[in-house]
Amino acid sequence: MIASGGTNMRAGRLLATSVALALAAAACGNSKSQSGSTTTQSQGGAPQTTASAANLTKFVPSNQAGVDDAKREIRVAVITSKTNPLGGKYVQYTDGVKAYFKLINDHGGIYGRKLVIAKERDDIIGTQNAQQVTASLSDDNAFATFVATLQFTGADALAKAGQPTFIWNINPEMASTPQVAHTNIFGSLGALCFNCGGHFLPWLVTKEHYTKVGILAYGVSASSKICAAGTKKGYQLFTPNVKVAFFDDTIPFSGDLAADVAKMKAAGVQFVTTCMDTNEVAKLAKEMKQQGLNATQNLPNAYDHDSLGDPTTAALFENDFVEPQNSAWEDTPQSPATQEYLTAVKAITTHPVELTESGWIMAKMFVDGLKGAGPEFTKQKVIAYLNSQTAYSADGLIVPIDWTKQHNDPQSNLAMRGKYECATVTQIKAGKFVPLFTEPGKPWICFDPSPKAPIPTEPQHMSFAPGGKG
Amino acid sequence: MDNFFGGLTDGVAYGAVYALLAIGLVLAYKTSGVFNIAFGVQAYASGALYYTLHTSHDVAIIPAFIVSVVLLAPLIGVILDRLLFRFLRSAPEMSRLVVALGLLVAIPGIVQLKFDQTLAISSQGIVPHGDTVYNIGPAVLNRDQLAIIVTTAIVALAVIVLFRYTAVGLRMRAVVESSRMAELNGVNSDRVSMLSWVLTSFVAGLAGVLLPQITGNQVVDVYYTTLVTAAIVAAVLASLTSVPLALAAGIGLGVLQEWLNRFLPTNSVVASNIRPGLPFIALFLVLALDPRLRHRRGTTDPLANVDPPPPAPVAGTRSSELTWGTRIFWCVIGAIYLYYVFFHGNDSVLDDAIRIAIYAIIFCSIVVATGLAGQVSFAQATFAGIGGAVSAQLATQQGMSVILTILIGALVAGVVGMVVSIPALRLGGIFLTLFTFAFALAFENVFLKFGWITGGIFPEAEPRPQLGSVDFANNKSFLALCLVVLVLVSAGVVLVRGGTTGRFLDAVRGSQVAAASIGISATRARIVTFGLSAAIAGLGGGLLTSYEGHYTPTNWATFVGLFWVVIVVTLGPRTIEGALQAAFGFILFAKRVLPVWLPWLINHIQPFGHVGTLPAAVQYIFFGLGAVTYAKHPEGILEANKRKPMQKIQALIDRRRSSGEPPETATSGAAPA
Repeated sequence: MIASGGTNMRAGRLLATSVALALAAAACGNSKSQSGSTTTQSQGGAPQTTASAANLTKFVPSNQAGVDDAKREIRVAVITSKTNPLGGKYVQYTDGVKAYFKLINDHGGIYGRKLVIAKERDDIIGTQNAQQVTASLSDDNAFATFVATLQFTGADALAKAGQPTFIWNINPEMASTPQVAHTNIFGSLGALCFNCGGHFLPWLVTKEHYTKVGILAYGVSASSKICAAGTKKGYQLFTPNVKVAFFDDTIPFSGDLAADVAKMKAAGVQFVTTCMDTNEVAKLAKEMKQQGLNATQNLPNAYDHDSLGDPTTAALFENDFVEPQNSAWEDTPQSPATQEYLTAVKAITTHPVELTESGWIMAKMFVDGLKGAGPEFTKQKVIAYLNSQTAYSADGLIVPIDWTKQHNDPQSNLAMRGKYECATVTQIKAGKFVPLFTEPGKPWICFDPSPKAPIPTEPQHMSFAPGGKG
Repeated sequence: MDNFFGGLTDGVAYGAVYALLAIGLVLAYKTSGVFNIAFGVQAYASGALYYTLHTSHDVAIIPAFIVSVVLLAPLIGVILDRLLFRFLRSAPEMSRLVVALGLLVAIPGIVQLKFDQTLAISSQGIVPHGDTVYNIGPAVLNRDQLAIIVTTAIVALAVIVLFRYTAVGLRMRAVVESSRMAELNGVNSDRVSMLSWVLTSFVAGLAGVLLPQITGNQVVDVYYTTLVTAAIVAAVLASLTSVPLALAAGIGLGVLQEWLNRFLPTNSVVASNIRPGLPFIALFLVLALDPRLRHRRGTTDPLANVDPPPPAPVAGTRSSELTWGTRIFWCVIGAIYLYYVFFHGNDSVLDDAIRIAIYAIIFCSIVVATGLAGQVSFAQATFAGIGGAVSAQLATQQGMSVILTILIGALVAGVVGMVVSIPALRLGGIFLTLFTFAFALAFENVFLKFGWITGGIFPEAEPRPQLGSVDFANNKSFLALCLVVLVLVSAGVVLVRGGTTGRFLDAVRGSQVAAASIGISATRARIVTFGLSAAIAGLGGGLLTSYEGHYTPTNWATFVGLFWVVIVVTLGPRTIEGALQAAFGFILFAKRVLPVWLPWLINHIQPFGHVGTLPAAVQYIFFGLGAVTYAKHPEGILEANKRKPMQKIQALIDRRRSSGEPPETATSGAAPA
């Protein structure tokens, strides 16, 4: 038996060795067909005007994928990380898309068609993102794709397919790569800059007279570490009088923070910036309270009214700062765009979160793209129209984005940063988000984004709404 | 000194959590013989119910506690005992571990069918005003932490008393050693076994309502699993048997962690690498160096041999006609499928086929490790990831040919697999599996953050290969390449199984001592198998990275690898056919079966209610519960269920055979394909 097996084994070894040698010998190069794409956006061919009101109801037959002329529908697909062992919120993005589509459909739709979510997909916390994207492109017959996922490994597939894509931008993969231009992928922010070290936080600590700050980040996440390094760089660049008294980018996932808090207390830290998730900052706040560290936190991704509904959580975060991605709902006067959103979203959900508004904004961007493309719209025309926009702000809900360049990675090319570096600021007071530093009708405070520009004593107060109010 | 005492008190508070979980693991192992890797998700079930009752519905603490901990947790224990573990008392230790692994995958899916953990953000503990702080000497502790410390102390004391001073404790251990011998002495092993599970599950329930208070008040399964994974080091330090040692080790780990946090400069390379991975590095070192674990035998019933051996795989017992018939049948089916994929399928169908081919290659590595060597490795995803990372780095940074880099990636993964297997092989049974687990977690927590491995924020790119004039940028060409590799790997696995190494492994599985007496080196055979298995996984990793165009770390997460093991052992860990079935299941279940095919089927066979897309969690329930049948069907569910139809077909063939010729029974030499 063993001898026979040994013969088989030798045959196997011979076969394996032969194949390996043959492959190694013949392997003479790599495919070039994926490289060489440009990441610079051309404005050529973009429609210069949007459709007139009369044109918006004009029905022109279309042979575009995702346009069903029999049912008079424009179909889109939505992919979210619905199945999600980390407890993150993703599926709420869909509610925002639905709310905006309902608003449009209730007013007769666009170009004689209704907007329809044809398919909702679950990419299982990003582990199946590329698969679900490929399946959606092949099977869903969708004109556009909306994405809110933890990972965005399907970005290249969407880019190669030329699919108009609208994402909740938390993913570095949104940016064009040297191999594939992602000029069809739009977010409520341009391509992210993790290490840019902006002006806002240095300005805030100066304004609030903090002199010692602490920065915390996970040690197991590359993006968390780079975020921490960028924040530190910002303080060092713009606020030489503010000392980064504590810096830790080695925190284990779900680890104990007692030592960090003890060190921050010993270092006299007054203000804490983190590159961690909401659960971890809650744990940090609890530990700070326990050890009597009376420092203020700047909370990332914390514009969540549900969490403040719990008095214990609200008390933990009292006086902490939160910067919503979109203009805050609490701004007075509320902008017309915010009012429209808050009214319309009630028809879809009683628990809208920040992400819901991102879905709304991206649906609006899509519809604005359709309007810009005109009654004879195509995917290419929608993309081209949006890419001709140099200051797209969704009627003031977001900081204007220059889509002629903000598909590109700003970390490696400073020229690709947006024109505006702005924030809308709230502070948690008695369980509510209270807007700060606003002027009536001007919810944003803005800074010169140049790394050489010093922080101003007073930033520029701005509104990006039509007419400059709200 | 402040840091010393501060670290000590904070460490005791945090270490009490590890200790409670480690005691739970030791208790489960001592009273049921199961290394209950699902302990954390059992705790999660109670935590979720407690949150729903107390936080969401304002039920008072005591009734919410009674329902979640006193009623639900033991009920889970009764169910697990009655439906599963009662039938596994004589099963090998590895089988029981695989069943627990199935539960680890299934239970969160079941809980999340009704519990939305994205909303569970403000859990409250089992003591009112849990954030009230007490200054006790240099210690600053809140009520929630005191509750954990006190609970851990009470549980430890109770378990020590149970084992040392009560007859019940003795009976529990006796039933684990040998239920048959215990029964011969008048012990009602069924009742004792159930009591063991009730007790273990009660401790899990306690942990379930206490843990969220130290993990940021969120009731999320991954936090429970992460803490249990860290607590394994304390349980292993206690050799899975000593409760006082588990208590001391848990608290010691907490204190050590806290002192490192306080004394290591936060910007140091050492802190950056050790802090996130400390429990896993510690587990790795303990398993590699602790002399008490050397060739430690797991608990096995000395009367287990009275049970008949598991049946041979169907493929190994059928007649030559049926074997050829089966092969031709599957070849025809395969040809039809590939014809459809190549000539009629859209991009998504092609994508499915490519991924199925690649994952079938990777799953062949589990066939080698588990089906051939009888070892369960939790590091297959890591080996695949190593192959992918090496391939991407060499292709992109060094500009080497991708075909060559994929082969080098496989080679590196194979060498790493062999190196890992050397210290691992001095360990027996589940400790070897835990060693692979520790290696995978340490790699994930220490190495994966380095840009020179993964590419950092922007994952390292890897182009498609080119072979002579054939450019594999085209997906159909790439599928053809993957199929060729799959055929070669399958042939290699079959050759190894039928060859010297395979037969050596057969002999070692039968009796290591007897094998050694005829000059077979179990160590050598296993090192070769581990290396081969890791190399196959690395080969698949390189192919997937090239297919996707970049290195994606989430593809290779340790817990993804655990799911691979579950799905392969569910569907057939001993054959290439099983690996193929597992690959089809892994790719198609969440993408097609649950959202499209199953709802369509349900909606067409019943007129009563419309069923939409089924939640993806159902796949975890399905495969998790599938894996719990591993002990009964070590050949996999599909393989087991083929037995009867195959026997019927065989009978039909025999009847049709010409008269006078004796019916052919088993072809003993036929290897399963």
